Amino acid sequence: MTCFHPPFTAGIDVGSTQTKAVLLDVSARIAGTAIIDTGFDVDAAAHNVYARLLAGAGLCADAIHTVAGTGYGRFRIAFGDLQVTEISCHARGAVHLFPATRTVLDMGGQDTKAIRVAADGGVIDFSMNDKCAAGTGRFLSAAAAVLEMPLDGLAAVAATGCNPVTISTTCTVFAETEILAWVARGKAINDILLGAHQAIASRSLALLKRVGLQPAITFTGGVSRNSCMVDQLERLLGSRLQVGEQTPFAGALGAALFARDRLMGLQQAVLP
Amino acid sequence: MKRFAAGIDLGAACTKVIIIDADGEVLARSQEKTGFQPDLAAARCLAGALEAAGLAQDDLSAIVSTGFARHLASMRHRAVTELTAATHGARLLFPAAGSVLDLGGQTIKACRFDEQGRILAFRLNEKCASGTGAFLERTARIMGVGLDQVDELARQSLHPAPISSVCAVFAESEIISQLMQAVPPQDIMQGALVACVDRALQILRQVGLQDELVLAGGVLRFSTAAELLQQKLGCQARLPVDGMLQFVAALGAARIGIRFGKEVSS
Repeated sequence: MTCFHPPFTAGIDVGSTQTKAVLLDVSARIAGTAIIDTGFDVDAAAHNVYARLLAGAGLCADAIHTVAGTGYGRFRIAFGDLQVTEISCHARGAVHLFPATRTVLDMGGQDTKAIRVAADGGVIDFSMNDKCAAGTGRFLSAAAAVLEMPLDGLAAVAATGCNPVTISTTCTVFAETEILAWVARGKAINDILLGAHQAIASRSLALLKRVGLQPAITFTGGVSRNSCMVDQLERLLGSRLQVGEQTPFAGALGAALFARDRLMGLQQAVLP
Repeated sequence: MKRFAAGIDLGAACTKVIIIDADGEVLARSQEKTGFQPDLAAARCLAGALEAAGLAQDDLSAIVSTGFARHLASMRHRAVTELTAATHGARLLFPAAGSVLDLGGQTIKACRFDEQGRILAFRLNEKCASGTGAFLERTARIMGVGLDQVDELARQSLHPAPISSVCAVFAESEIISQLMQAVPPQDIMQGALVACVDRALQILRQVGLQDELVLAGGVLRFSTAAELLQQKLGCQARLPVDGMLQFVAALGAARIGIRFGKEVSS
């Protein structure tokens, strides 16, 4: 069977924890999304998320003009036509979702980035946790693991906390011990989790301050689904964050937009 | 009447107690996991050491605590920092000691001191688990290897797998992907030990190496780590024997107890 569609483009964001895919139609509207856990086999994750994206839209691979990859596993996407850094993709994706975006906070499974962006989605400046897992989604999954709770349930429990504990250690490894020590001292789980969310939020704020806090600020990446993190960040910033159902897909969306540039015969933007 | 003193080292991973006499002879030692109630661990360890020494708590002329939870040992007469304790312990074991490098469960400490034992410079790993015992424990756990098997496994390695991540959390992901790529487990284990040793050396270099260097800490009970460290140092370092590796700070605390008695200082 042959597909007779106007060409689509796709972006695939192979992250450390989850792999996301976005399908764009010719007019740059989102025609589908897919998400799966990355797991240990990065190549398979890329393959599977793409298959799921196509199946969801009822398309075959021929209908896709260009596939762009991003995320730490972007070079492992066997069928990828181009690769773009996740900094560029999150900036582009965030501005596409919320045109007023001037600052992006991307919080993923293993890294957190603050990016200052121009109106056209270009990157002006960025700052990220290079070598350290502190203040990333990994901190939350570590908390979930030591408390033996599902990651998805953390935000709801944390939101019921009233007297958050202070997590004083920076290192995620030491923080696990600290969380267990709070449990041993009889602190309520919701207060411990609220403390963990606050610890990450304040760490991200430091990162954001390094690139300037120019509004509007858009929160992207997997952790942008976490309503408690959104609340804590908004409390620290004293302003609202732009966040929505599509923000976890901002990286893949940005990649799909770069793929669309190629489809439209546009000059490739200068990528940092 | 003979004088005895106890040193209690409340470390992040393990609590160590040692009882010595006025000549610095060791009468008894005891050790257990610190857990979440360091005060209880200290009390149990002290009771165990007293029993082994055939002494009662009243027979002790002083109890001195050290380690990160030193202020939680309620029976202490005084508390001293790990650096002071390690310095005294190293000098008691090796009178010509000039510096000490301690590879512990959650801390790496390097310290340089003069002939009187006054600390000249020191450095700690501070906020990061990179290269600590906690990192080794996690590596062993994800590899499904017991801590008692680490040495035997690492010893078989011919080509240690390099670990490029500094962060212990990222290193874990790196190790998992190495396992997925069928890198031999012995090479990964040895690679993890190399990472620990390199991190400790980095901290030592910031302090400056001074003869004689005394090595200490639980990580070095893996003899492959001790050998690696000696190799990379390129100089002869002193390694406490007879199971004293983990008791250097406790020994120093006890020594301070013998010298200064019960008088409480700040």
